[in-house]
Amino acid sequence: MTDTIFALSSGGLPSGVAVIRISGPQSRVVIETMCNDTRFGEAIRLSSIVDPVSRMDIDRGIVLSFIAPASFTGEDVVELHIHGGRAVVEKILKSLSILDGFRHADAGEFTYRAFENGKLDLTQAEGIADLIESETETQRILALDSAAGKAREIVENWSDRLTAIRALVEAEIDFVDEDDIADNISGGVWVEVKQLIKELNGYLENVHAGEIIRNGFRVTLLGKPNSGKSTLLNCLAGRDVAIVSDEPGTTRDILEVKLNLGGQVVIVSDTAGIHETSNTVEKEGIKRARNLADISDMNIWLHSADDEIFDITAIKDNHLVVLSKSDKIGTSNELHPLPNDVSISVFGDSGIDRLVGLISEAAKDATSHSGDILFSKERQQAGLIRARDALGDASNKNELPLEIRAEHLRTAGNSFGRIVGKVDVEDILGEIFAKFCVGK
Amino acid sequence: MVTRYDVVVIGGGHAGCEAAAAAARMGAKTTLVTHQFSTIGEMSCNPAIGGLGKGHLVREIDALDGLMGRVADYGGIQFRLLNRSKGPAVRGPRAQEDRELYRDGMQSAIRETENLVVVEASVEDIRIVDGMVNGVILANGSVIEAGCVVLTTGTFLRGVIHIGDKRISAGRMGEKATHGLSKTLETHKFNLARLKTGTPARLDRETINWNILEMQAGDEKPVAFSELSDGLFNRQIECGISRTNRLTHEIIEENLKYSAMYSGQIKGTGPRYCPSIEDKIVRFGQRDGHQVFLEPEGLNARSVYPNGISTSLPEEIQLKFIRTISGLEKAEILQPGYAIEYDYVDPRSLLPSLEARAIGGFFLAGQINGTTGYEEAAAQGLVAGLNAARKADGGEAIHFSRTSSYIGVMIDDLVSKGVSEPYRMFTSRAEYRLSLRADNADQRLTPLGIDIGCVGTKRQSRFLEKMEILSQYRDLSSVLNMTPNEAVAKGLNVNQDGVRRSAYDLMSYPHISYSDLAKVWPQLASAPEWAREQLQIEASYAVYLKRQEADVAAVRRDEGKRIPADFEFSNLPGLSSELIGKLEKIRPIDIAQASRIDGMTPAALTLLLSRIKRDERQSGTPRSRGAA
Repeated sequence: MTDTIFALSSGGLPSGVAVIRISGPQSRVVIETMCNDTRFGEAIRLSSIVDPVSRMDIDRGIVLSFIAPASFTGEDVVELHIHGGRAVVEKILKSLSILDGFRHADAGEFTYRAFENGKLDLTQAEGIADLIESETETQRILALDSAAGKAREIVENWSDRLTAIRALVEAEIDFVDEDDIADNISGGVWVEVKQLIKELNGYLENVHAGEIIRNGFRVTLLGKPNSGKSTLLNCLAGRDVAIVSDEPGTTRDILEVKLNLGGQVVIVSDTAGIHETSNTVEKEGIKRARNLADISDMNIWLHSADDEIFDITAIKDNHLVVLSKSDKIGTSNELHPLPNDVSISVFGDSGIDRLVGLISEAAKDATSHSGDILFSKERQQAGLIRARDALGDASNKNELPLEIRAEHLRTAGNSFGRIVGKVDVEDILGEIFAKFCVGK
Repeated sequence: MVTRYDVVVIGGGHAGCEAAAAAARMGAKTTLVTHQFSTIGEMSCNPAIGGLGKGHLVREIDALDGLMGRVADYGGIQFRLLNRSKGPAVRGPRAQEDRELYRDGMQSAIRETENLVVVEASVEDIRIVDGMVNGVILANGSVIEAGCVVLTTGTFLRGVIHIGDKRISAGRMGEKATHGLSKTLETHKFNLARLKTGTPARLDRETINWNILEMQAGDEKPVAFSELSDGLFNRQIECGISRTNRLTHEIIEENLKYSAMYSGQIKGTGPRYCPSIEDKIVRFGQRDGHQVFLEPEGLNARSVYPNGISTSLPEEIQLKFIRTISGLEKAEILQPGYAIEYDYVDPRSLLPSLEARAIGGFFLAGQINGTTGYEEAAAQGLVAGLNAARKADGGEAIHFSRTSSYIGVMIDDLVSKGVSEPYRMFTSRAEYRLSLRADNADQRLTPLGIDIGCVGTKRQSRFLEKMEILSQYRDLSSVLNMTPNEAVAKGLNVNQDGVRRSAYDLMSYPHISYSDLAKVWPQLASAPEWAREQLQIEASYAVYLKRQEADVAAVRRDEGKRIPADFEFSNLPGLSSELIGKLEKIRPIDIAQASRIDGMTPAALTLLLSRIKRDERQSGTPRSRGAA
């Protein structure tokens, strides 16, 4: 079956509204798995957009479906008109990429499909020449851009190293009877594959670091009702932004404040308290709190010192555990049975400075490797992610037969190839013949 | 004297035999012109057929009812399935051959082929009128008229043999080279260049001390090449293994200046994967030794082929270095090793049917196209023969796709990329390697063969019977299913995820075999051994093949979009001159081939396609074709 392709088809981010276009036979799957409030074929709908795996909300937006052949490409098409924040768009593109049979579109691919399906007439298609010229122009500009040149250099380096790895694997497959090629000659390559994955991850993290610098470091306050989240938010903000009361469940929706903490831009979000409830409004608030936690850079779990029930299962490994209202236990938090990272009380600002320090340090850490944000294009990122995942598939499973691991490596090679130009099997053979005395 | 045939094949080597037999099977009145009937089926280099990639090609030739697989089974004296320890996709059947039996087998097969006549003669020239071939002129002046001619002259075009500083004009040791045809090809603007290959000395079996050699036996359960072979014909032999050593290397190094390769006499490029012993010493001199396989050239043959020491050193130095090798201290040479240089034609001047672009009805196949190896030659011969017959009959060209055969991979590589050294098949060249297996060559190609009419009744009925049994058990194993709980109760360990799995799904687990399942479902137990194996192989790759399906479908769709032969790429606006240059040179025949050219983007393809459609609309002729 034909791949289903997707891409951000509106302009640069951030923007008021962003449009993601999806085209191909599986397009309806997007509606079924990611658009809660609509069905494929309904012309225009306001719908929540959810993660296809966790079913958590990502955004709300306008969803349009076009049934083949009545669409731009002549295939089933879905358009998601969503909020144009980088995080939202990134998250939706990422979600689409994990759907079976979906991949990021190549440049000009929607137009190609439109033409193939007779949706463009010849004069329109002739206009493509301009598109090619503009592609060339873009490439020219990119070539002059030193960052792009550096990105290319880095991918070429990965690609060359992968060629060397593949040469050993292919040698073991194709030159089995050769004296010069030992039976397990590819045995050592998996360490290098893992090293490549590590480096790719490093650069992919840099991409995220860039997002943080532009948008701020996202901190979410979580905890049971009345654990002091809103009080902490007000304290950090230095003003009353949240309504504070002793009434549990006062905060029912998310409240965001952009702050400067220790020189870092930090967005602190106050959320609804997490607990068992039958109240639908509260339930919705809890759902949103959890979704937000998923995309946050840092989550702070508050536990009130006067609360003796510890729900350890609610606390995830990556949560910073803060014991709030430490004045309530009076003396030392060491007596408190809940292990915590810091204990605070807004009365007398006890522990607050330390907490601010921890947040700003984490923010600084997250952005410290942002020096090389080289892969800014969605297509490049998608290619790197595909390469990394394929390398993972190849190296993680020792029990797989070598020819299948070799197939995963081929996929990774093709992904690099899409970014820097093709990898030819001749390169791999060349590497083998240079290294080994092959030929009985 | 003038005679008339549908197809004339020039050359009786591996390409020529398959070409002539394929054309004849298609019903074309065919003649094979060769110097001597008695050299038909000669193995001029090592006495072996198959291997990795090459074995795949032999199976594919067999699937189209070609000769090589059957003859190799008839002459085989040591069968080994290479890569047995790895997965089925990369296993390659290989056999040592008795040269005499192979030659006899091939000659009988040619004799028995209907519609095929062999003429012993030397071809002086090809007759071309208005850009179309119309026959061949023989040395005695007589003419054979034909609308299609297949040229398979191997290493004979301006062939020169080098032994030390001796140069002998020859196509093979003791057989004269061909000169006139090279001039004709040049007149018609084919690009000719030189390639080089070599062969080792042949040794006298009686003078080898076999007792001190390590011996290598074939497989205990030999695997045949042909679907039509029911068993093996000959007793199986062992090969000896020895090594070169420091002394061998010293002698070769001292005498390098006398080697034709290193004295500057040879200009042609040799294959990197089949280096001469001189090359090995120069490039990998630090190795303490290189393996030498001592392969008897037949059950009773006197001659032994020392695989691994091909050379163009003077004969007396060959003898000197050979005698330093353990077991060969008293060896005598029956025929010295030599290097051979020959003309080849840039295969980019050919269409994927192997017909020359410039001359209608003129096909080229085999080593003349820059390949090496019997199997590569035979596979091209088959393609050229099928297409020559088809053309003679007025039919559409038959194309082989990269997605369904190694034959398709090889031909696309040749006509799209050309060659810079003799081209040999490797499994790594096939991007759909997991589906292009030696074990399913018949499933991939025999239906096409039946469709185009090159498969005889015997193979056809065997194939259909085999498919029926296979699909019976495939269907059965897809229907039978159980829950994870039931599976565990039967001792089959699977994830407890509540998902029902069919017997076919369960077979894909490395730790679950068909036999395990036959115990659970007795109705599976009646399947023959070969069907069990086949289903298990299919199931084990199923999940990976499914992932490739989308890619394969896209390629096949693009193969349906043809680019007219006379299409003017230079008129495409917006494309860089570099890209236009590549398109002009390669002249892709369809969008799939065009998309494999470096630098092509979807936008450029859109433009290309739009121009083709516009031209079609103006001339009112949509184009279509058959493909495999």
